[in-house]
Amino acid sequence: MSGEKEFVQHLQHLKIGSIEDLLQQIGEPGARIICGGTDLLVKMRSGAISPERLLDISEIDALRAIEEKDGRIEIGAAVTESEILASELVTVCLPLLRTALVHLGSLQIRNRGTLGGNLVNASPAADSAVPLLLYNAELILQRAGSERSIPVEEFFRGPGQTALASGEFLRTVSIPIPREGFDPFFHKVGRRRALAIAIASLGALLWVEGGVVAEARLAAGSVAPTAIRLSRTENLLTGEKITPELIAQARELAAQEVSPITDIRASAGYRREVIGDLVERFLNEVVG
Amino acid sequence: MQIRIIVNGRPVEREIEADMRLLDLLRDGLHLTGTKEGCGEGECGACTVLLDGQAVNSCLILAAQVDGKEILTVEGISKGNTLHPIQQAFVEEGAVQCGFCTPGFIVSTYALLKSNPAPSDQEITSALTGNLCRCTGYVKIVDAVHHAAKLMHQKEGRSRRAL
Amino acid sequence: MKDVQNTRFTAVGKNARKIDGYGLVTGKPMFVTDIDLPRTLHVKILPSPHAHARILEIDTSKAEAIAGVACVLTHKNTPSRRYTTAGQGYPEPSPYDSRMFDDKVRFVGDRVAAVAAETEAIALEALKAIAVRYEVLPPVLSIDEALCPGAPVIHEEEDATGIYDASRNIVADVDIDAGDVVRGFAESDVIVEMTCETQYAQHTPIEPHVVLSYLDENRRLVLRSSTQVPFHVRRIIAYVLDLPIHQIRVIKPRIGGGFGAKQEVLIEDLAGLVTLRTGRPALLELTRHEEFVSSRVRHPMRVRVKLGAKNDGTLHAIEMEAISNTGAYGSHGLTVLSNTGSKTLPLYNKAENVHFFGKAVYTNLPVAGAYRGYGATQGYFPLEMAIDELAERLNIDPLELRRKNHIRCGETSPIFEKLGEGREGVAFTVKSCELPRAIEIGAEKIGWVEKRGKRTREGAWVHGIGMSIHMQGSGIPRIDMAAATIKMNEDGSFNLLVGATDLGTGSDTILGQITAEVLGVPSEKVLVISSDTDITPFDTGAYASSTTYVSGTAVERAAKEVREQVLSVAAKMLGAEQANLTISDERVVAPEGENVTLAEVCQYAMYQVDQFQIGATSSCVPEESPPPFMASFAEVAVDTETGVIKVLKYIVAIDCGTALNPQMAEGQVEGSIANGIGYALTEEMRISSKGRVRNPTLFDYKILGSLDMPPFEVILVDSYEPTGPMGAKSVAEIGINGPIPTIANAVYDAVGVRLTKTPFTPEKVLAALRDRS
Repeated sequence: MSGEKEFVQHLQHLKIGSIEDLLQQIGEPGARIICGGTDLLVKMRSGAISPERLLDISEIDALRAIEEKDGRIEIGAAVTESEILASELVTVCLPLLRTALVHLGSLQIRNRGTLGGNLVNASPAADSAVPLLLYNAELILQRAGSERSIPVEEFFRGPGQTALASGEFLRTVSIPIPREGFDPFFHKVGRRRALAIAIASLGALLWVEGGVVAEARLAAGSVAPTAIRLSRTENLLTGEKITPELIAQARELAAQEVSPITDIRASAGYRREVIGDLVERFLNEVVG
Repeated sequence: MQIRIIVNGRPVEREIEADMRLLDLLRDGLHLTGTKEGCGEGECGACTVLLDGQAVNSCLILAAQVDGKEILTVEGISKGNTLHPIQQAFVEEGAVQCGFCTPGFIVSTYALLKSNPAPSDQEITSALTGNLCRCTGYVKIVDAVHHAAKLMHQKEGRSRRAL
Repeated sequence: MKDVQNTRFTAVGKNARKIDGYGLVTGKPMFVTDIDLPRTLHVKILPSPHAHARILEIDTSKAEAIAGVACVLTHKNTPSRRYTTAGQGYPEPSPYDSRMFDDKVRFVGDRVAAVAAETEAIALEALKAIAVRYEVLPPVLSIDEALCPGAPVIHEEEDATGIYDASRNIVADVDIDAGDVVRGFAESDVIVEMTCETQYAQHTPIEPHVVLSYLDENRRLVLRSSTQVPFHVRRIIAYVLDLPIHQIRVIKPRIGGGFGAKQEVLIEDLAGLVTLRTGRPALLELTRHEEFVSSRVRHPMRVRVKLGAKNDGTLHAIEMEAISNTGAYGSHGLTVLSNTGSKTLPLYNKAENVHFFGKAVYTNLPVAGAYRGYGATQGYFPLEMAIDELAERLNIDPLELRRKNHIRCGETSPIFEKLGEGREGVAFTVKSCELPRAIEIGAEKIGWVEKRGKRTREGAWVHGIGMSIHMQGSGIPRIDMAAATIKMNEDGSFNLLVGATDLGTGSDTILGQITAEVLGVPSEKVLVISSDTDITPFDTGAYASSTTYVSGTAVERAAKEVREQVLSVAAKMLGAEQANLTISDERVVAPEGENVTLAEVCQYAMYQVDQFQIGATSSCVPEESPPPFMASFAEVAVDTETGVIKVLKYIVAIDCGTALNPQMAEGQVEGSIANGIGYALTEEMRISSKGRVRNPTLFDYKILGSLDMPPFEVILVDSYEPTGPMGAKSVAEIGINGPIPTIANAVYDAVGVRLTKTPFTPEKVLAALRDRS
């Protein structure tokens, strides 16, 4: 049963040893980065893409580390999802990233799939995007002669669209360790538990100090062209005491500020409603 | 291109096309047909093999990517004609019906029990999430994994005593 | 878990190891594609991009010119006989409305052409080089459109036969009644009505359809096929390709699941024709995408049930109307529709007035076929919900209402006789029914009394309990036929040759156990060879829950004949009366204790005196179809904010007569329940407004994984079916009928809404909750 569509005849596979080598190759016509291959091979077989040269970055040491640096956790683009889940640093400092990745695909997928790959695909339902938005992650992008750092929100431009320029690659995901004292929340609605692509997901971090919301971060997946922060709802909550009235307002506002579509998994109306419901559920949990 | 890999403990050298999947190398190139293709998109897990000890979908990996690495397939799990305790447990517990998904489940179970010799129900179902079975409803598969864990524990106990 | 341990038997009633288990767990080459034949051609199919179109022109010259292309098949160069792909008894009750290739395509994914080439890549390239000019016709994309006066006619061709009314897109029409339902409703104190709709769902065996064809040394065509019906394949392919039956051999190796999908002769004709044209082996293997788009699905149905009852809870009238969507071809259209009534209505035989009617209609949508449950699954959905609704209206416990009305041992139903497989059925009385005990056990295990109606709340989650009861059948009476041959070897072992088809169910093992039981040998001494049309005797195949009951009876009969032969030889050897001899522990023993081994008996017969082969062939054509019975219970929690349903616990108590191999019987039930829960909650083929399947991948079509399974328990309730082999009935299908109504009734118990359209997605549940409030 091999081949929905044949692969290009003269495909080349190049194992890249270092970032310098990668920078040399990346500009070549028809070149495409491969790491785990879990998405790329599906796309190649369906004919959605047909690269001529695959640049395999899975063994570039500089892209394979998880480190703590100056109050930030830095995760290399070629670190697999399983490695992130096994990381003590992530478990302790970034629990929501862990929660989101636990049910990402299957073990077989997580053993190959990488955080970098998940982000570069820019799926509106990308499981890793919601926690990274909440953690105010920055992505370090590199090209020959320059590097830049952009907030994860600015990285996603639409379904499958990112801020990566030609000749540029995602090197590191850099996440500031959040200060303590927050209430975390992550909930994904799907048709089944395993390997489910989200119909809608909501993540949140909330700091309540002296009875009022000091800071609110809310992010949602599968309810807009990209995973998004719910900034209007965040503003509504900040500085306020959580009351039933405020919860009702937040619920309404969250449902308003998403822009879901109807697809094979659910309708736009349902997604809008559920995001409101999840915001309400989260705030009720915070109040206890 | 030329690759060198270790398959089921034996070194293999092969000339391959860059677009060949690991699955095709195993089935067509090496005639190791225990590894099955059920979907070709990483959803069913019938093609699961161990790559340097980790369960992966061989339909989503290019053979070129595994150059220099070690592969274990279902054919490499038993020694000679004696079933590995996992295989024995799958037969004894009735965890095999049509058997098409079975090699994938056995390989995934092998990886699980190596890292977690006494898994809970929840740990078993999590570890086997990437393997679909349409015949059994998974009940007897979970039973078989528990049973295998016990058999392996007993066997280990025996060999320790023998030392 | 078994309710009562069976001690009557030595070989059956035990968990004998699966005889193909060793090979399967070690990955031995046992499936169709696990062997390589030199010079094999790869066959790929060009699918129709249109739901309904006429092929005006088809130019294959460019494809044929590609190096490595061996042949291109289209409607212009292939046999034009109309046939049915349904692998059923002959003459088939399905219409002859299919052709290898037609000049008209009737659904997105219908065959347009096929290419055989040296490699798959070349075949795919050649498909792209085929130029087709279509006249696109208006498509019919729902049962309502199909039945609309003036609707486009899907099968207007004149050479199709067996269609009820092609001009109105009606494949089949069924209308039977017992008593007078109009009077029945007039006399009823309470009437309830329920209409339910089921979705497009697919079997998704993990191994897609696959066939390898080749010519043997005598130039006969061999089809090594993943099929449930090797003998029907041989007959149908002989007809389609106009070959004598004796020129074809069909071999079924191990197959990776079927569930009805492989009761269809879908691809053997193409591979076979390529082999005949080229003289070379040909491999045709559907991709997962093709499996979804172009193979077979469960008939989506709209079924309405109306119940009338007296105030005391006695059912008085039942009306059931079913409209079935058979898709572009009528495979199993009539028989699945018939089964919707015939496998459900007899369950409530206290109703004296029964009316069942319905239609199966053509649409330009994916083609339906046989699928585990075979129409009964769709019928039980409204029936079991309506029973719950009736219980509520009468203020009677749903268990009590069912107990009062369900069929019992010694009773019959007029439906058995009135409604069969597309024709009249066969009257019989039920001779085994432990449904009362199944209900009792299930109710206790789920905690019916403590939990029902309590609506326990945990945050947004509300708990509920539901149940439903079911029956199915064991084979098709006076239509199915199975045969078995047993021969003895001189070490006291036996070869069992059966046409019966083990599609993973373990039937080879179970039929071996029956043989071992009768002949007094351990199961290892029975060597089973199955499903090879050259070697094994005939069997209609693995469908309609027939193998244990029908094929098992044939095996039991053959084994008994062989036993008589063994005893008669032993009587000569021992100088004893045959009637006084017994067999135990592989010895024939006389009353005084003198004995000979089975090996000695066979050696005596083969080499010494009055030499002959100890062996026999026997057949079974069943006179009745004893139903297995099931009570199914679930506890669910419904998230009232997102609409997600979580099944927390599932309990099944089932009466399948003697469980010949309890572990395998449980396995059948567990697998069918898992499939049924997926059908109830997640599985759905979504179809675009142009008739295209939008989610033809296992990524987007969600079958349950291990993490999705609720804790569940199967209880085999001991019973004995006097007409079955060693008291057995069949058990392969019934389980799948349970989850939809059981979960729907539990959801009603939790949150008070009746879900009438499957699958019960979070969105539908939430919408139902909003509608109510």
